[in-house]
Amino acid sequence: MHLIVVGAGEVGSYLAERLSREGLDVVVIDLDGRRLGELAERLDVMTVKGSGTKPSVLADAGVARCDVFVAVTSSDEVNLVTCMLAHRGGAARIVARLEEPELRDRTAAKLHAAVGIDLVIDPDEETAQEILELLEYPGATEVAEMAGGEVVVIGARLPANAPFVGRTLQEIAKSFEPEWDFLFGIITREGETIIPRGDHRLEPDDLVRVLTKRKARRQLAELLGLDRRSLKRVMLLGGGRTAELVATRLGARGADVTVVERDPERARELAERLDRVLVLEGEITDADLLADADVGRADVVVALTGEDDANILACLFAKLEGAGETIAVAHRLSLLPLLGQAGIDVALSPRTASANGVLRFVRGGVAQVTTFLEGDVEVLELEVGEGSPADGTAVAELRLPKDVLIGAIVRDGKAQIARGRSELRDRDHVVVFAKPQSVEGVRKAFN
Amino acid sequence: MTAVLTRRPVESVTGWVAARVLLACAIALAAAAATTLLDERRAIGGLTACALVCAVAGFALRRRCVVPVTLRPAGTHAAVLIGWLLLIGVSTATYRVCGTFDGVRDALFESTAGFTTTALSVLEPVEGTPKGVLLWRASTQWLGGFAAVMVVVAMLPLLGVGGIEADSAGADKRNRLKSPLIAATTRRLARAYLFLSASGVGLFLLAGMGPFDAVTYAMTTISSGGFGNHDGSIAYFDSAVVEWCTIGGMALAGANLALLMAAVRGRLVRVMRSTELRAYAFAVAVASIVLTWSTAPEGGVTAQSARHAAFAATSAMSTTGHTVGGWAEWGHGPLVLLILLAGVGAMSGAPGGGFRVVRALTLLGVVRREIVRQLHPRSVMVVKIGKAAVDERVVSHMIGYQVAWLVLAGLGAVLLGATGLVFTEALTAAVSALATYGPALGDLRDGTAALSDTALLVLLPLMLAGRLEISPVVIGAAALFRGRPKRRSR
Repeated sequence: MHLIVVGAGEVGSYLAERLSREGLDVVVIDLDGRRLGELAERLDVMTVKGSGTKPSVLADAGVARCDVFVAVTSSDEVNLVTCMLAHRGGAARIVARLEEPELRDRTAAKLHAAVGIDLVIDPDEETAQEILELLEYPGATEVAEMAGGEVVVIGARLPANAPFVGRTLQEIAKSFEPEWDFLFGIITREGETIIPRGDHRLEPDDLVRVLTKRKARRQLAELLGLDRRSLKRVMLLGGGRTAELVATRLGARGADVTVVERDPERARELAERLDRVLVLEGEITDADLLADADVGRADVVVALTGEDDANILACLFAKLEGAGETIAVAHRLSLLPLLGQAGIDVALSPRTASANGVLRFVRGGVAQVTTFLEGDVEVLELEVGEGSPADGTAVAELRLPKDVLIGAIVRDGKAQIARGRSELRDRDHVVVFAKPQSVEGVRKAFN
Repeated sequence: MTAVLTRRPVESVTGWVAARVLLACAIALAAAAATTLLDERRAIGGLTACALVCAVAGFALRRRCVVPVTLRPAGTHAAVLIGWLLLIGVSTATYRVCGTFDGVRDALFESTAGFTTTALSVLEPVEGTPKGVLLWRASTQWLGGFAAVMVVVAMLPLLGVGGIEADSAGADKRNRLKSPLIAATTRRLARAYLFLSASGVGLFLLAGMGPFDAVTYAMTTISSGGFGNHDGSIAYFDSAVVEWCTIGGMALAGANLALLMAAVRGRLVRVMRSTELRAYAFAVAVASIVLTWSTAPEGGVTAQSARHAAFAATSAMSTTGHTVGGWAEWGHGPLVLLILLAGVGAMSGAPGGGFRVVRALTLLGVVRREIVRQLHPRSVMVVKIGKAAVDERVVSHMIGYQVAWLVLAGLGAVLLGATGLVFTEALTAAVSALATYGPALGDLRDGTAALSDTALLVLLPLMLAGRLEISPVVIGAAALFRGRPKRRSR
């Protein structure tokens, strides 16, 4: 499979990394030669220096035999022109990053068709969505909704007083017979991620990812020892687009939102656009400002500037002042393990959010993919094809690569936790935990 | 001026405005002259003569004067002021020629009150005045209401005069009559205004008024004027239906013309989203309820007392000034509330006057911002009307306008006090005149009888300044006194 990624920024380079790791041919186009050099050193990708808006550059990248073309520069205009050229140049399928709402919504469908865009992504929007989902499950470190929200994967670090701690998965499973509402998918302990077996014993500080039916999610949150918090006072540190999206939606829900932004002009713009949101102008690491704004009384503090250090510092300060939950947006994944130890509840990176959308598209047939920040196990949603090996087979008899776990079966919109005896039928959607190297094998079993 | 006499057209805003003013007067005077045929031809000579003079002068100016390519703020303000003074002058002359008033002062006062749509009249008694003159008197208010909207909505924004466009264009974007040209805007405004007036006539006819009363009352109601053909104003008809129709007409006079036209075209959702309209309706409703409750006669609220309360509230908020009587029994509280309502006044882009709802909303936003700034010194806040942000330039203009308004009101009150009025009367009379409302507290609640000759003269500039939103009067007068800049030789 031949893929072209235009724009080696945060999203582009992360995508290139993910795709090349799966053994796909990836070409990255960017104006910045140094950035391309760094990327080529690290990854097995081809790089082309130049603008994606130049036909000759696209031809060099092999646009004519391109299966999936991804335009993810930070400019809508550049992405549109690039996509148009790629479309004319013979790219089979096209993904574009567009930020302007008017260019994204349904009314722009004609434009998308004209330019040949098959999928529109927006990292800011997707990050905002992730933050909102996290806020809906206070205490969780990760939340991913699958199968249209029927199945939710919740990631959480087990506190010492959680009811589950000290029991094996088998014991837990027995106490919830006859019908399970949730299932332990992945466990990360001391940096090692595994798909656990029945004799695995849960310990405090384990990072667990649990798959649950939608209706059982509150019950699960209690069993995981996650505390419930109201969402009355929210503080957003950093006033970028993501913050604007989050503030708009939280404001509409009636939360008291405060946004801190350093750029006076942007602060004013936010004040103009946002309704019933208090905008403060200043550095997010300015302790006086945060203290004056009563950061300690906030239920949730989200730090979402582009600077990891500032985000982490601000969250640390908020924690010290007594804020309920702190969420730091981190762009460098290497920092992630630190954050948990520092008591910052949650960290997420905008690039994973939008990368998931592209991965799903690249793989085709997969309804949804979720990846986690720690550990390389993915959650996939797949449809059982008619006549595939899985069609009509019980889960236990299905020959799957190791490191694969079938979590849930969604039939006619109703979710069910998968058991060994559950039989699969065509058009079922299944939610599967798998390591990347096994993904190909899983797909074969279902199509 | 010499250029006017030559054949070549001359670029002059003043001339252009004056030509239109004179022609409008000529048409109104001709209509008034025609009306005398129904009234034993009383005053036909005077009205016809005035109409002819206006027509000749108007046509002559129209042939000679064209609008300059670029409008200069000072010159245009002066033109507006001159146009307005010309209107008043024509009317004063007409009253004198027809012998309606004995002195120039009364004729001048009646004319100024007429064109500024203030419900203050020195015509005593009204009954018995020739119908032609009464029609002209109603016409002054009708023309004044329209000209005021024109000045504020169509002409001044073109000059980019800071913040005045906020009145209808900048602050609440929904209320804008979208058209970049004076001529096109004028035509749209005129169509809206004519439509409203015709509906007013229809309403009053249905309510049982005679044709002459229906036309004149529609003219003085839709323009927010408030003159009546009878000594008791609307109370003369003693009819609940007429009163309700007048309430409706006055409510329309206080509403933004562009919004009204949008409503007529069926775009109700858009109209209902206007924050200013909601605030206006809310204020009228709350005031009506408070007045109903506070002026209830012994034995509880009656249909009549409730109707009179709603009437007074609408009349004040739209700054119309029609009355239905019954004020004599009202205490001071309700009357002060009425003066307050008139002070806030009508919506932007409406024939009604006053400080205007949109400005009041902006100032409330400023107050809110100042309070939040005390709490959070680093906060960045934008003044908003509904969800739309108001430009800082506009905000500061509005604060300035408010200060100017208060200064004028204070100055007026001091001068009125010097003529012998007690404090409450002087202050409320000044506010009422600035708002082009009319009634005031104390002995002034029933008209001008208690006002001395000097007091009448003090009210003239107040009414004019209030009607023209202050700046044309101040800037225009300054430009006139400073005189014309000397032209460099070509």
